[in-house]
Amino acid sequence: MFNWVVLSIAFPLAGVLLNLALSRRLREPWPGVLATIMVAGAGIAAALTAGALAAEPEGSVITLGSWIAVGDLHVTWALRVDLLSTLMMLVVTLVGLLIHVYSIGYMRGDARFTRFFIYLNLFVAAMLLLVTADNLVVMFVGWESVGLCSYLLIGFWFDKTKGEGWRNSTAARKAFIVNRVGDLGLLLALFMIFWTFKTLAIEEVLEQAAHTLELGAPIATAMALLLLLGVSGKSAQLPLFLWLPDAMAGPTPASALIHAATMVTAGVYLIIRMQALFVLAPAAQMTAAAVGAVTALFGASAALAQTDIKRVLAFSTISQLGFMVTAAGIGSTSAGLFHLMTHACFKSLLFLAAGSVIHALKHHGRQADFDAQDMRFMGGLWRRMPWTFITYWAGALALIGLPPFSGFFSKDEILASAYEYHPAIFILLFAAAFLTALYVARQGLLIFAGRPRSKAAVAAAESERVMIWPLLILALFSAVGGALNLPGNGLLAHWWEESGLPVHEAGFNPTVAALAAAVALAGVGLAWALYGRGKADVSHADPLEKHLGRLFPGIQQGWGLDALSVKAVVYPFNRLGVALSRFDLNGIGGADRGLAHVVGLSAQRLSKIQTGYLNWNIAIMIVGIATVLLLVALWRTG
Amino acid sequence: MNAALPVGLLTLPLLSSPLAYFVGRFSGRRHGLAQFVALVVLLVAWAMFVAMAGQLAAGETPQFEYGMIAFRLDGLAMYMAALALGLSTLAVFFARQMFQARAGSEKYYAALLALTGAMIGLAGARDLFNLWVWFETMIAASYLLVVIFHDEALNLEAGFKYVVQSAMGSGLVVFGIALILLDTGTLNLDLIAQAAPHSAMAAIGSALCFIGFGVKVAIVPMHTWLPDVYTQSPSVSSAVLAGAVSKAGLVGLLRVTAALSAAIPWADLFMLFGAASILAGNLLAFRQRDVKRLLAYSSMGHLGYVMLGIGFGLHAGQTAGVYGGLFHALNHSVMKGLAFFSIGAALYLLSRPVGREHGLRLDDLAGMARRCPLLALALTLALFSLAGIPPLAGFMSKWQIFAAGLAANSPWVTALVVFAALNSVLSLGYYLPVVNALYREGASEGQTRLPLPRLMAIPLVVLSFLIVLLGLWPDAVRWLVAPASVLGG
Repeated sequence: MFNWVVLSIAFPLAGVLLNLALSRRLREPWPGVLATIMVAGAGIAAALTAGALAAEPEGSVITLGSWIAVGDLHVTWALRVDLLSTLMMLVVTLVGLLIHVYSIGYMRGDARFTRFFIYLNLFVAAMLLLVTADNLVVMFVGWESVGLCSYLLIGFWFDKTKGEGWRNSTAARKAFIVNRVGDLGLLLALFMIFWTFKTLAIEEVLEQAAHTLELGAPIATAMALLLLLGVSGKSAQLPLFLWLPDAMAGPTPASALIHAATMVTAGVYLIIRMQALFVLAPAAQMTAAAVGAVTALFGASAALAQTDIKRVLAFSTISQLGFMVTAAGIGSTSAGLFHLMTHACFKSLLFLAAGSVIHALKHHGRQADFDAQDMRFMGGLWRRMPWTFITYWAGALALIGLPPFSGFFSKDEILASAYEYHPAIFILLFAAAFLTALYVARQGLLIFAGRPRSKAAVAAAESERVMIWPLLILALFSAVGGALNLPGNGLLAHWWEESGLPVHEAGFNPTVAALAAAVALAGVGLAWALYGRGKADVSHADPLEKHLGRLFPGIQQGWGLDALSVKAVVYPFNRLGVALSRFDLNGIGGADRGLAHVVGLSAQRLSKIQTGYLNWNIAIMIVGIATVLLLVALWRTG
Repeated sequence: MNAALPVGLLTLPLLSSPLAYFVGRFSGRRHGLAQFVALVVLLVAWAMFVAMAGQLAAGETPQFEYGMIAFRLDGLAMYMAALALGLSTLAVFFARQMFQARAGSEKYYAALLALTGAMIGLAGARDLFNLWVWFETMIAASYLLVVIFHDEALNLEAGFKYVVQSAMGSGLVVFGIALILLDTGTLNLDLIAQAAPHSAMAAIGSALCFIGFGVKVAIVPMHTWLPDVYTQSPSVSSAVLAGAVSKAGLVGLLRVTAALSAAIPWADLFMLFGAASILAGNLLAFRQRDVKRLLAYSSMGHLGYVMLGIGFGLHAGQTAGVYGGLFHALNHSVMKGLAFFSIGAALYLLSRPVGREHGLRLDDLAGMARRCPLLALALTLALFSLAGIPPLAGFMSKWQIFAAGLAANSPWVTALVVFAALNSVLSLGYYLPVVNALYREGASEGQTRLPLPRLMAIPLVVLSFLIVLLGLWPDAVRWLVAPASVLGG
């Protein structure tokens, strides 16, 4: 009964259509409730699929019909049910469901309440298509559709006043354009795969690759590297991470769902799915590991100096995705997926908790230069928002990687694998793990510890129940999610072996685990020493700045890479555009206008013939008769 | 037993046509009853169609013979029956609100039923004489759709042109049939196909049939009736004419083509006149400000693509081209049906009286997206699909035509494919301004606050759904189109 997977995609899609059709009938909060029910339905269908998979661990492919069949190219609407796709479906629907519930509270009173839920439902459907597609073209449809939803949700508040709307829509465009670069890589990879294997069905591609290509074959390396370019766009790795910090302009639930828990992990999913190809290309594996590890360190360092509550989490997501890409790149796929799953829980939890804080502060901000997302205006919220405080810290400890929280186990597996793979990679990740503890603890202390540093923080009150319940559930998962793959019993690793997916595991390494826990504690301790007394308001310099000096503004700007990209790419590109447009206007434009003139003129001439007089009409017909007869006569004689 | 279903499908719409008229004439309940009768009849016809589609899929062709008269619902006939029933059913939904129970509109349902029966008869006829009789019946019935209100001067003008030029085409067909009869001594299509005549007489006969049926298909230069008729008829009639009647002309032509395949160079004629129709339709549509006229010319262009696809198929002796052509013809029925229904709905919202529908300018559609989003979306989908934008239906079928042409591996055919593809791009030049107008800010004058009636929304929703579905899952109609593309089968 793997057919449930079809229903799982159909439910959110039906939610989109229903909400569109009923948009004038349903009043708040009913569009949200409807959308939530649809995602719940998708989740139940995903769970039933998982149940069916437990009986038949090797999974199956469901073919719905043919889409494109021209020449050698056969694209079928086919969905794959196996351990990887099913786990992804469960993550997407579970996190998606909780975020839908939360959004009913968060988006209350928004002018485009229904539209928000339509986008969310569309996203869930597209994401489910992405992770279940058995054909690379169908996967690409999902890949682009989630990109579209991301664009729509980043720019969701495009009409805010005071230039903020403009900033939001610019951020949306930036995300879209930067992702195009990555998608170009992915498309080229698809072309190359089709050219080589004459098929785009994932199963056949992987099988043929394993049988026909040798280890280290240049074509395999090229494919894997191009795929990696696509991954670095979608999963915000160096050098294409640029869009993710700006993407925080969207509503916080959307950031949690799309830009933390699910869409950005699509790249990691792609590496795991196409693992058989990466295994053939050690150079690409090395590149993936290096890119991931450097990104992990880079993201963690940049997160250290942010003042915006969501930007900290954005850079943190970049950093954590680096961990996953490294793991998937060096072949420890189950560790990568494990971290993907725990991260989906704790990072969406952190985002939702941050959203709860923003929501509480937003309505009290009367100060002129007040910013509800600036942590320097917070402080002392633990007493005012106890549930948010507790759940936030559950997520934070998971992210920091303290035992027994889930992040400890998943991150530890990655560190152990990296330790076996290459010392440099391990050291980079290890340093990133330390900085992670430092920046998370810094954020947690800035928000909740000490005394309130603004009137809004004094007046803040706990968010409503519909927002708190999802936080509690996610906190539970973040706390105990490690049970999925404890060292020793290794449930996930066991399933993984049973399902026949390629795997290369490093066992539990007590030394690495102890070191990681120690360094995490050290990070938290350092943060307490610096921020424990909560002296970081707008008028003071950040305590860290005293110690880092001029390095601080540098990391605050993400090591200046954003500015560099503007100087090195955007500015020259604009100049080129101006130059080309001159050529276009005078050179091509002339030819163009000439052509348009010719078409227009001939259209005018021709319409003169069409007078509407019956005699004339019939005369034209007689010309036709004569032509046909003449042609037939010519053919018979010639 | 086997004959009951085909006889029923053929006669039911014809026999119930007067019933619909009398019920509507004497019930006096704003013609709702006539609409109801027509709907019931068509639904019963659908049921018979589905039953026979099952038989056909099982490899058994529904047919009956009565003396010399043979009627056989093979693949092509079932294809035509589906188009005829589909467009008529949707038109029945649409017509009542459109005509707002104007006196005399009950005749519409009678004419529509008769037309449906005639088109099914034409598709199933197995001899040339019956083919011609049904062709003539179809012209008569469709004439009524054009001049449904005899006191509207513009309707009458269009109807007059329509009937004169159709009669001329029909006359040419009769001449052609006479010549073929003289040459082969039989009218039976199967016997003619066996004889495979290639004398001069058969050639002239075939050529005359090409021209005569070509008038209905509106191949350049036999198209001259089309702009006035599509523009000045009620939109719901234009939808049926463009969606079904033009395809019936094509089916008649294909019957002759299959039977007399050796008589004249059909492939070259199809390709040549197809390409000419594409170019002429595009150029004539290009500067059009009148939306219905624009759609009329675009119909010419699209039938050109259909002819081109069939020509590719005949040229290479493979079914892929014919399949592409017939698939495009089906899509064109869906797209153009949707476009004309949407225009009808727009006219309704603009409160233009029926019968004075010409002169719907681009500017009149301004702001329609705000006024009625469903209508704007439906028309946009139709136009995008007509322009061949993926992943909509029109793209899939055009692509199959082009792919079939490229598979022929002949430089001339490849050149034609390039030509057609360039024309497809050119067509955006006149479709996009309509979309632009729909989504432009600021409503045009005369837009009422009336809501779009639900019955009118049904055809729009159904056809929009089909356009998307056929784009994503083109094989959904393979069962219908594939048997039809085996010509002469």
